[in-house]
Amino acid sequence: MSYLRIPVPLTMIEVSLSSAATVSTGSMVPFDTVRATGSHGVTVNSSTGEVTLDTSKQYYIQASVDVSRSSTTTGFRFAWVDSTGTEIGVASGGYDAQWDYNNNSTATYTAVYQSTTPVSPIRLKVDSISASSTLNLATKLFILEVTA
Amino acid sequence: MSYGLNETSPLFRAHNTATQTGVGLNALFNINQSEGCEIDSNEVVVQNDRVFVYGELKATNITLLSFDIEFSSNDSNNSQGWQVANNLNLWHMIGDDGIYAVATSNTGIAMRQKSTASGASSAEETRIFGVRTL
Repeated sequence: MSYLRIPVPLTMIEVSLSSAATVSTGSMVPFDTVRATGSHGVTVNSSTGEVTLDTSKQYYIQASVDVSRSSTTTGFRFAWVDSTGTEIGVASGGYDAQWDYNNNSTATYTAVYQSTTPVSPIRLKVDSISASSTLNLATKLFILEVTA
Repeated sequence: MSYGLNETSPLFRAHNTATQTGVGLNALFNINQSEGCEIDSNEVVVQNDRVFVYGELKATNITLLSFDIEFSSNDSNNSQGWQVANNLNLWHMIGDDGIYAVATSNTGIAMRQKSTASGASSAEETRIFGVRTL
């Protein structure tokens, strides 16, 4: 027995920081560098960290966060926001990265935005962290761009 | 990547929207919302596909310092991950926060609790992301 499949083009994209950044609650992650396996529709604004997507395509975006907290007795939370600064919630495909200090808890270390009808642009917001923490170079976005 | 004629994307995702308490050994973590796939009894159902899936779980009040989770599917392909709790003793580090698996056709994918004594734990959020790769 066989069945028909529709193949789709896929591009893998990495978005990163060129230097470590000092961040506090309310900061936006200042992404500024893009590299990819082929042509794609992703651009970043190196001044704001804003990531522009091609809204005709579909995306899986995974943000891995590496942060050195200025206080070891605090947690952190990163979340996706749209162009107005409004958080993109799980119903729209936005999943946060969160770790609670001193709560016997596990974390969600990756913030994911997955959507077949993406909004653009998006930013990764530092929703909570101890003031003047350091966002390290290992903080990256891994993006699958699908032309479906 | 590819998708079938009755589908609109190779991407699919599922999650839970309410905190689940008292998750016992071998119990499935709840999932109640999805996009691009169906849910049946807390299993993500993908038919006639080969898929790569990635999952994460945020849990609190863990009675053990470790918290083991497993992807299980009805094609007998299992993959385990391991999450380690934040705690006051400070010597425990996060080992493996996520869980990955490859599953094959007619698959029901679920995240299962595999710790031996975490009945008092609460799963705040269960997330499953997948791509069809056939």
